[in-house]
Amino acid sequence: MFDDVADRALMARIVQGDTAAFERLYANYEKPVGAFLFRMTYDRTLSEDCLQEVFMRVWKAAPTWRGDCRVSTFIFQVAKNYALNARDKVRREQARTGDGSREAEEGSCATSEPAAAADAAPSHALEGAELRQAVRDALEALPEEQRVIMLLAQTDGLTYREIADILQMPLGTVKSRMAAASDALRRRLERHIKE
Amino acid sequence: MTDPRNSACGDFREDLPLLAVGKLHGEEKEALERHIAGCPACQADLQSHRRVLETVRKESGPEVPLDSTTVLNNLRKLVAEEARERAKPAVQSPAPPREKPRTPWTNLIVAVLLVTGLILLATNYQRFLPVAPPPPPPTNPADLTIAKLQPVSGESEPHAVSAGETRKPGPNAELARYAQGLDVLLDPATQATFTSATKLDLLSGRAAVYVPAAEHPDFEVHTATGAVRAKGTLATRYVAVLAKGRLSVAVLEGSVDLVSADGHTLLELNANEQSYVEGQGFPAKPEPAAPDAFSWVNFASNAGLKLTLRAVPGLKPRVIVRLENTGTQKVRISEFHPLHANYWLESRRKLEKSFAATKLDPIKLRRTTPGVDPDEREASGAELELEPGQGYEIEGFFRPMEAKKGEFVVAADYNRYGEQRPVLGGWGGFLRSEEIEITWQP
Repeated sequence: MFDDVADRALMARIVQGDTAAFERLYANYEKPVGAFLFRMTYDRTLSEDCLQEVFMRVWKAAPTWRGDCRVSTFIFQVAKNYALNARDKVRREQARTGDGSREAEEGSCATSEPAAAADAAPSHALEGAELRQAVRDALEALPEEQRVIMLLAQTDGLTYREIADILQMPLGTVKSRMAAASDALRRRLERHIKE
Repeated sequence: MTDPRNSACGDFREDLPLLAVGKLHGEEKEALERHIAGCPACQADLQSHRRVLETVRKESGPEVPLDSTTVLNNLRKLVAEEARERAKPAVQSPAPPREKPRTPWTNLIVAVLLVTGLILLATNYQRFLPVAPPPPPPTNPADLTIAKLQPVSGESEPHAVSAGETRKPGPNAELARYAQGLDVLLDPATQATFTSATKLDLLSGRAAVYVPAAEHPDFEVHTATGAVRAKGTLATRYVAVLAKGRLSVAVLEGSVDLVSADGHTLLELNANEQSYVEGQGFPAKPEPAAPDAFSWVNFASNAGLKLTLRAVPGLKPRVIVRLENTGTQKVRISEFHPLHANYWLESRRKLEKSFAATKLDPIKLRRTTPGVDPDEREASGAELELEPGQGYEIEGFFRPMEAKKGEFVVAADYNRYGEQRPVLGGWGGFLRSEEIEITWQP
């Protein structure tokens, strides 16, 4: 779990313009936030851009941040919004151009067909790139609100109460959506995972 | 799977995935573990969740860690730029000297003085009554100003908006800039009353609202049908449309409450959602925001800027992208840097869906003024105001792409993933291909 007392102390120093405190906060969060952004976008460049935007937003918003939630909640709320905006932008771009070619930067499109074929197979354990692609496809097939919960749940340091705070949802909703997401992933993936 | 005949399993079913990813704690975790100890079906179910979710975690993350060092270096530059920007107003009007931290002794002295003052005031209050009549209410129009209104394009001067003033923009959209950076963009067909610094009465038409993070928490767009309020600590951007008694709302960033005419919260809308309410009824179920929900904002705010591309031949052909203010007024570029935009070059065959796209890798930034040699500056150039005719040139390379000459469409996408304010545009739009000229030098 993230240390909210230490994080608040850093935020207080950031308000005073302390860049060392800002870098410390970045060091504490860049890995979990970066991994979350990558899982949301599957695009390295995009997730690095988003990571930069998220922390720039934290820097700018620090003086007016009300402090009515945990610092980690605040940072992941910002990250979630940037990631959704970035995804939306990519989707709009694809809709505008009628093609998904730009997704190919990470090579995800290149391997989508074998994974899709494997998905149709009744029971066939996958490995390496095929398994990776099957996991991505399964996550992409989830409704957006379930996928966001699932990806936040994959993030170290966040409790499910905090996930509820980040998404401003009741705890019960988080639980039921997480369960629905996990069931859907099991239906799609379990047969492809080695015992 | 969990045994459906055991009703206790049903109570715990939704907790199993949370336990599997280590997110369940305290009493909930203990209760579930007690149940699992005596329930083979749930044990098997937990193992299944655990196996799948561990695979998902392992296989969905980045294979190579993100380049967090480059991001940190960029942040250092941006923070330094921001600090310089923050320091600018301080030069014009020096900030008051910072108060020295109080010691317990000074706190005690202040408290004693305060109590003494209050006692004196209570016993001799008549002496303190004003001899002269109270000052009249402010009559200077500037005292009632709640926002500055600026046509997005055109030649009009900024207009100071007074509380209670009703506006209907002319042929151009108008941007109302409140204190602390709150912005409202009014569509030309819109009629709205600037009731107060925290309330806009939308009578008809469309308004796009930007509420900065944690500021103006009480600002609302009010209509006869209902109202919209930004909520939370994050920046919020939304579009509110009032037409034929129906209030439609689409949220681009942050979240808002849709509130009934009598003040009850009806619905929360989050980023990329839209809904509507009409009459006295309940709002429609939120649905994904329509792709064109924000397009008019882009159209209105792109005016005055033009993008041109020039290819420079050579062993490794370079491209010069020029962003120019073709309007008649100074354009201030806020939170957008020409070097940080994404410039795309696309090749598209007519009547075919196939296309290829490549992105510009910028290497140089020059500021240009008619009749003056280009002013070459570092990539972090901080001056972001364009006089009429002025522009920026960004020189760089397009990443290699297979395409034939004559099939190109160019797009400059300066949406910084929700960072922009509608000063220049950047609410997620493109400088469309018809606004772009390409000159291929021989």
